[in-house]
Amino acid sequence: MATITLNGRQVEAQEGENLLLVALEQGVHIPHLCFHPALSAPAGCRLCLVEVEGMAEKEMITACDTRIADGMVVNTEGERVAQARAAVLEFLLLNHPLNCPVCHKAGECELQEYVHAHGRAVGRFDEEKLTRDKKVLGKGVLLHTERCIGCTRCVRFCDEITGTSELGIFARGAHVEVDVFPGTELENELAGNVVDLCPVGALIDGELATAPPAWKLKGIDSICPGCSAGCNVRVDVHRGRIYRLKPRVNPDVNRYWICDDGRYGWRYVHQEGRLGMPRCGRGTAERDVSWEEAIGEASQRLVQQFGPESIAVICSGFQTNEESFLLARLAADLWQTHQLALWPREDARGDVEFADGFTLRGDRSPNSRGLREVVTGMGLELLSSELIWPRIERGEIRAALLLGGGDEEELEEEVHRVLEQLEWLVVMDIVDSELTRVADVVLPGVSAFEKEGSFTNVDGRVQRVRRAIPPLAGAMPDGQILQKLGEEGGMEWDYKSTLEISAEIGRLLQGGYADTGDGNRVRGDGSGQAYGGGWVDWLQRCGFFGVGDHTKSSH
Amino acid sequence: MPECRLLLRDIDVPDIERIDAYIACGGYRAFEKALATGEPERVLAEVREAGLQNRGGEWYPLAERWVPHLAEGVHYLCVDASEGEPGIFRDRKLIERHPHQIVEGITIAAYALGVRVVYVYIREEMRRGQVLLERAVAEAGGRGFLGGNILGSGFALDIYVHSGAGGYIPREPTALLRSLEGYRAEPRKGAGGLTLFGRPALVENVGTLAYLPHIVDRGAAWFRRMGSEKYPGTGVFCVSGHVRRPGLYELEVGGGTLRELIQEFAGGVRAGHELKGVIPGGISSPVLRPEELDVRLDPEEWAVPGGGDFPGAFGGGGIIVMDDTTCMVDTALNLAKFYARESCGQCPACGAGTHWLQKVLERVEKGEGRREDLELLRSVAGQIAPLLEPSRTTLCSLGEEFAWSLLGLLRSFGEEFERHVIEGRCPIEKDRRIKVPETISVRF
Repeated sequence: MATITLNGRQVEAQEGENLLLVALEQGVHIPHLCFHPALSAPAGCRLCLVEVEGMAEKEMITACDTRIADGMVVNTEGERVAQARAAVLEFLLLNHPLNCPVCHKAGECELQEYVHAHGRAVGRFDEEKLTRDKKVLGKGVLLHTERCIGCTRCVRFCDEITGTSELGIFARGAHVEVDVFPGTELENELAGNVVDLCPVGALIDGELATAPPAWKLKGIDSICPGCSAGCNVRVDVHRGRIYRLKPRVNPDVNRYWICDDGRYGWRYVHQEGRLGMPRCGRGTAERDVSWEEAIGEASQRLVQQFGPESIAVICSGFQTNEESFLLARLAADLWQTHQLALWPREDARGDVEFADGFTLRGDRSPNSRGLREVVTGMGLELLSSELIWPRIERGEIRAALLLGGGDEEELEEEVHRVLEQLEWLVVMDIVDSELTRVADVVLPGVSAFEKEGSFTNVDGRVQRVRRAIPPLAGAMPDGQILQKLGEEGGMEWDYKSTLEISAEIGRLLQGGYADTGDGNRVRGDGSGQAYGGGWVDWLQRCGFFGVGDHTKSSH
Repeated sequence: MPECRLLLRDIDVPDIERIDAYIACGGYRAFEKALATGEPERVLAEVREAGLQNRGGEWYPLAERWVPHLAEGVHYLCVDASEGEPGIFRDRKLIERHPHQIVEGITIAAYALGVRVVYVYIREEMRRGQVLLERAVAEAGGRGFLGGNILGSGFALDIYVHSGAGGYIPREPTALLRSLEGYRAEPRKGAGGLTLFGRPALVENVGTLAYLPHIVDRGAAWFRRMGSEKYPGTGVFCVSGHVRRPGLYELEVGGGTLRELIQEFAGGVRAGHELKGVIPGGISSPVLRPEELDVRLDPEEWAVPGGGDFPGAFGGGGIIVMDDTTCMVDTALNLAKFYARESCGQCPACGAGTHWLQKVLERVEKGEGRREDLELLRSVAGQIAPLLEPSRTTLCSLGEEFAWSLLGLLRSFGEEFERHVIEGRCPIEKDRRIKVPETISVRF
């Protein structure tokens, strides 16, 4: 351990740790732009200059690339530091457009924040600004070149995190700009993160250009349902509509990133094909019905017409732990069947790992591990859908409750043929698809963004999923549908909330099911150390990455 | 006070750029002598005894700087041949006219350091020098001075001549190394940790290494008899601008004053004109007025050349003489353009700041300046490089250098800046023609 003096206060820190991060942990925020905790520190923006009294005399040094040494005396305030800060900010603003009110980044721009806090009130640059063209870098990422301050976060991200190195710095001096290397475009699967990384409005998500400004968005902390990695995200919504997904910092899960599949994968939620009314009948007999009728018909047939083991419950891995629990109970207690299966959604490529370890999971459903743990925890067995299909073909299984995933389901020909053989098929899904068209009863559920619950990621981390927007009118959260199916069939259960079910799963799994938190809860490894606090918390509050208090977080 | 030629001793010998002529002048004798010792430490000790200091403008003692590099097992020697500052043309001439002296200096340094691979990072614009240096390396290899088991000594050495990608910034060692690795030439905070391709590297200036054959050949004691106590040896000064005999002059360090160099060696300013100012040690050094020229040519004397608050800079020996046809605002603008163009753009103070100063100077020179512009220039330059307490708003010293030279011009010629603003025009009758002095003897 080393003891340093930080603004007159004695502070303990680990020798060799990063001065800027240590200061943040101590609640001392040293302004910085090019620095990012996950990237190398070129110390190029010079904003984090602080005064350090070393052995000899007071020296100005950049905090971002300074290591803690015992006896260090650091001043992050004071006139000399303030002057250097104001100077750097003034230089940064010289050629930076000042049309902030119409900038996409307004309200969550790091430069804007710093200039307000530490800059000069009046600019002294009375010359013509350099003007430059906008560019498309690829994957819908636009570059407003003249807003760029040359911090190179995006360049370093593509070098050090994705290892794809599409971006570079071109030209020199005041004309420095980011661009893709000739003949390439920004096309890696994490490309959207450069928009979050950009401290100013230079890199813009072209598809989100019409989103409301940051201060109108409300951020809800949740979990990305795109794959089994369980990336921590903030869902930014306005008037019941999702506008964007941003990563939340979680060092143990996704660190600072989310992939583009997750980032843009929510669009089906507001798609036209959303199911907003229960349906009965196949083909020409298809008709919209009320919820009472749909639940009644679905349940009645399942309970009365088919005997034990002739009903299959086929899950998709998109159900929360709580829904999985209800499904398993329905199967075991009401329908008396052990034909409980997972129909996996898999990426043919398997896991895709990037240079820094960030991994896109081959298991494209968010909760297949949770489903398995809950089911086995209840003493049941989770089968593979590969086992179920032949049993349907052989006529051993005559009815099924089938749960869809996120986006529109496309059926392989073989599966389609198998499903058509069923005497009775109840489908719970959210988007009209080939799957819903072969169903006898369609029960419109909701997406992960419209319900509460928890997902268990590939590493066994249980994380809270929160409702970001109200359920689509006419659709119903899957948990409620399952409860109603049960009640209709005579089950005596009355869960008031998903939390009650969580608690029951907790009792069932006897400590194997711990809510391991999604950024501000207790770790599951028993260390008792809370996330939050320190720089992670600060990052979130300060809008590092746009993750933060510029939107009104609900939690 | 006569000239004292070491590096320039043989520069006028016909065909000295070829190995036969060089060997006829005693070339590679020193390297053979060094190899014959069989002990690199003795070579290093000789350099230390000679007290040779870096001649790239920093004037640090060479051997002392090398010792820690030796301790960490230096793997590469990178030779900085990226000279590119206006008014400095020493290395270019040494490379183009006397490349074997450099190759031999490199071989001796490599032997003393135990380095087997040397990269010579040569400025891209020096095409001719690159060709000649590559030929010299090939010739030296042909005679067995390079390659494996050199002259049966067991020592092996390869020299690669690497062309830069254009730009002035690689004169920063960290930028040079990054450029050598194939990246943008951008300085990094690399004090004490210079690496090339992940291995420890040492960067040394080409004009410094050229002294090594002389020191090894004739001994440290002989070398020490020249120059001053702290800075033994000679300095090669580049005199350019409005003088009758511009060119390279090699003098003992401390062997004369700046005024003597300009008046006696370079012949003073053109007839009918008066000396107005001198940029004494590379363009970053604050300009001197005619009455400030009686400073000895010894880095030790240059702490405060013009008096007052200004730290002096002896620099790399680039002396630019300006007579009364020179407009000092125009000079500042010229320098601003150079620095604005050569800034790598990493640090806002240097990239944007120099650009800003250039814009303001352009206005002042055109007669569109305002009274408050002079204060603005001082303030902005001060934000880049406060004189007394460095603020480090720039990572390397490139941005600071222009601020220093601008503040120097404002200090010494502030009234001329004011006249531009008051009169709304440039008051100087400029001589834009490139005039060949009547008694030309540019001695390259």
